[in-house]
Amino acid sequence: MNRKAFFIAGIVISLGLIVIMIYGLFFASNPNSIPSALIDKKAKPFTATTFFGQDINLKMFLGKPVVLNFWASWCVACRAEARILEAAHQQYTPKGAVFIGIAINDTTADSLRFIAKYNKTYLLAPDDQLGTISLDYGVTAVPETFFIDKQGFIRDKVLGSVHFTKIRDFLNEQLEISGN
Amino acid sequence: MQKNHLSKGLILFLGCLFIASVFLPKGLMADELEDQVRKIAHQLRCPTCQALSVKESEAGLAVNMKNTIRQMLIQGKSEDEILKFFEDRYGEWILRSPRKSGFNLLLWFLPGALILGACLVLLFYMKNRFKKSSREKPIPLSDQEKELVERKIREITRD
Amino acid sequence: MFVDIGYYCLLAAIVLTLHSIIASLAGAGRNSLNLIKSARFSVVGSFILIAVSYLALSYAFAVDDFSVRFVADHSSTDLPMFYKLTAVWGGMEGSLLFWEAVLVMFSGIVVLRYSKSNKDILPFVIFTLGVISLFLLFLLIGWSNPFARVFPVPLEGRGLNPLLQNPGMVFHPPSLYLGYVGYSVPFAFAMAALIKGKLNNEWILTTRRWSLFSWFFLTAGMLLGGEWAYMELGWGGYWAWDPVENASLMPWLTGTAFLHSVIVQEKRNSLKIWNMLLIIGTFTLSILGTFITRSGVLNSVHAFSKSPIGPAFLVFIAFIMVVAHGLLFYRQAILSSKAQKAGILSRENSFLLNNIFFVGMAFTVLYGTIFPLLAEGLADKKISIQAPFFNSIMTPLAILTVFLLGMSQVLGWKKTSMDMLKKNTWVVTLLTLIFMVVSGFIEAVPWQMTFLGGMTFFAGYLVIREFFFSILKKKHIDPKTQSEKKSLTFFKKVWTDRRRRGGIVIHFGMIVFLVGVCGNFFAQETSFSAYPGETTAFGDYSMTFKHTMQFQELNAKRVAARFEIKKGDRVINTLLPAKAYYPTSPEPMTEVAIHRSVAEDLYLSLSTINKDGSVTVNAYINPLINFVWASMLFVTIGMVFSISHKSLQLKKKPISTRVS
Repeated sequence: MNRKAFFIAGIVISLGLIVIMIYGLFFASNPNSIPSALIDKKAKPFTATTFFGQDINLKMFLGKPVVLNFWASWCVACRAEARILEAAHQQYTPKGAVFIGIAINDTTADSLRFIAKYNKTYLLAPDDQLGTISLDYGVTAVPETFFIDKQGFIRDKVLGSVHFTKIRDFLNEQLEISGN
Repeated sequence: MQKNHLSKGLILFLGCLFIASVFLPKGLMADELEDQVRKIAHQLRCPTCQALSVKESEAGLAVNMKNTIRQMLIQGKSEDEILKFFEDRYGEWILRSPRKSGFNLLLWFLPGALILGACLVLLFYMKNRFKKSSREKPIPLSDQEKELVERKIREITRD
Repeated sequence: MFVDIGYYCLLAAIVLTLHSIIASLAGAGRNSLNLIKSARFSVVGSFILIAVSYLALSYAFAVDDFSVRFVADHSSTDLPMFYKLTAVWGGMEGSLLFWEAVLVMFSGIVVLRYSKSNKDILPFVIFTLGVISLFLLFLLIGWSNPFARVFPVPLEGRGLNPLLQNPGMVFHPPSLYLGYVGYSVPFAFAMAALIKGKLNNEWILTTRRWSLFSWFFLTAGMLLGGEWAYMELGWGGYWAWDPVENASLMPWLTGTAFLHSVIVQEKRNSLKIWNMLLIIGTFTLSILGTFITRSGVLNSVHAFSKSPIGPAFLVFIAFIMVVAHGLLFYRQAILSSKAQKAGILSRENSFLLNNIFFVGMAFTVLYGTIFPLLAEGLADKKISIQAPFFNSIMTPLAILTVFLLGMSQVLGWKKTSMDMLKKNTWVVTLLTLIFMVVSGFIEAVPWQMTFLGGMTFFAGYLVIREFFFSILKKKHIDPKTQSEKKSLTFFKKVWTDRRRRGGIVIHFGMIVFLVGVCGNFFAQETSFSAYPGETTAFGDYSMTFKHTMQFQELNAKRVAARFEIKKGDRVINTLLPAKAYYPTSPEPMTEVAIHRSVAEDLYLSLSTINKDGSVTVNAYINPLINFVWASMLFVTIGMVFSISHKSLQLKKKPISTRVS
């Protein structure tokens, strides 16, 4: 009786362990990816002053879809997406979208050099010394891009270089544009 | 005789050691604010280099986090409030020691419960065995053994 | 050319290993001594082949043969020869080859050494070791082939990870492997005993030294790993409860439980099933550790690249579990041991409790390590389980274990009277209570420190007392003749009954280690910036930043900040915390500088060199940390004592009874 319990316990533990490992190997998400706690939550309001002196406030853009990008001049992946964001801005801002780029942990001089190099023209502002905006958005690394809908809710987040199709799909849906 | 000296010597030696150890420097920092910042930062996982805590990490975001913690402490926020602040933004993931609630209770209390259960089973088993062994009739000692036992007892009581 | 020889040796070793597996089984079945003999030859033969293969890989490293992918990925021409040769185990493929080499070496020793004394179970030992070896060989020629070529041949290798270019790292992995692989020998004997159905204490007595040896190398490996982390990672600590560290701790914990519980079986002839389970568990956990570190299911500071061998390891683990369970189930009737008479206060019961705590701790570590997967699978949330969790859950368990360590010193086998116990422990109990009251209420240290320190004091006192009392006892029983010997010299006294003495010394080593751990609670740290000439006070030290300097050390260029360290008015040291730039690594490494003393370390880690000429430094004071490293000395001495003792029962028995 006693011994039987012993065996059953052993089998349960071994089986459990193997099932967990199989799950870990084939079904679990990448252990390095961090789920955002903010998806489908109201986007945190923020204010900033762009490198060119324009005051921006997220509230101003209520009713418009916002693509909020966090970047830094020292980040390699940001170079890859720099032209993509600028192109999307050229295409969609006239149609009612808003593009904001927040530079974090960067010096103004470096940021300006980066902006000039890639001819970036959308709303580009530095985060404050404490990185308040990036912490409010739970940024884990640069670049990171948030998609905020017309009602001011965060709909999605992309870690790493953002693809043009991702921006296009989101904005087409929000602005009710069909086709590309 | 010898044993007595030895035990006295030992007591003296270890007594000194322990007095010395009691007067070790206490882990109090000159700057208590920084100490608080470190204590809280130690409980947060660095999002950039995930194996490290925010305290140990020197990534830009971790530095910002440490500064934010300092700022919040200066504003008089409590440790819990600060941890909650980060949890709201980064999810439960950011806490290096999960909260003791909900599903995590299984994490916190299952091992302890199992160990406690095993100890109880062992105690039960020991008692049983003890009863069994005390119920059994002792086998009388042979003369030779009796003599040995008496000699040993004499030895023990002599020291 | 040599590379091809290495690869063909692996292929040939597979053939020989297959032969040893089949021949040993067939030989045992048909009772054919010739077949068994041929299996033994195959084992020795495959050892020679693997040794050649290992040398071939080392040669490829030595001559910078970058046509071999593994060499190109883990070495470069600038590497000193010493690190080139040790880079063999700097990556997964090479370390699997190293593992296999150690395994076949041990198998060779086993077949040569135990061919007479353990004749009847030896075929099954060869069989079990052969299966493990075959598994590794399949990995080596398939998923993780160290001899795979790369084309086009790169002109320069990608270099060895600078973190691994440290003496501690050079010896830490082989030491762990010796420990892991060492446990496969007692495991193989256990499985052989199960297969054969010969379940007396013979396998335990035969493998006693192997278990001790493996335990020693696991301990050494973890301490070396701790020292490496302390020197290389630059955050002032040596243990972070990282999944990879946990993976090596788990077999250590169950291995420690095994070391104790086999003594119970040896002396009291009980716990037979339990010991089987422990050795099976220890072996499985050492494989599981490799799985966890190499499969990428959990993230870790060691950041091994995700490799495809995960599923293979998982299948192997499942295979071991199924076979072991099946055999235990099949043999359960013979395994049952009659309960022995024992009082509640007895050494065997303290060993049983010890086992519960060690296995409980191993379970806790395993559970905490894999719980993130459970949380994701069952509760659909991602959580982190890192050092703060493990510290808070393991400390109480450690405290209880240390208490038990002390108690077991004063408990005798079978039964200990309450009076005797009181007589032996009242002094230390009183002192411990005073210690705890003073430190807890007057000094107000954290409660963990109060209890851990108190229990360490308690156990330390009893261990030291036991050591001297057992030596200064007037009469000594000669283990050989069972006769009493009087008037031995001190050293003779220490040397006789050295198995027990060795145990005491190892326990003392653990106490020394725990004193070091207690020092953690008094650690201080700070972070400061300084301009040249500026002095910063920290603890009892004042640190003056002189200037920055550059110099070359081996293959790395170092940029260091020169600090003059004063204690009071006396200059005690010059420290050079630095950033090291390795030719093959884009990011500089932090090279810490430490002023060591018995009481504490002053530990400086250079954070940044600022543009304005100042430097930012993280400084730590780590009290008693050198006790952690010093424990290794006592563990080593104790191990020499213990291992030099040969099992009595085994020696006493005439050959004829053992063979039948």
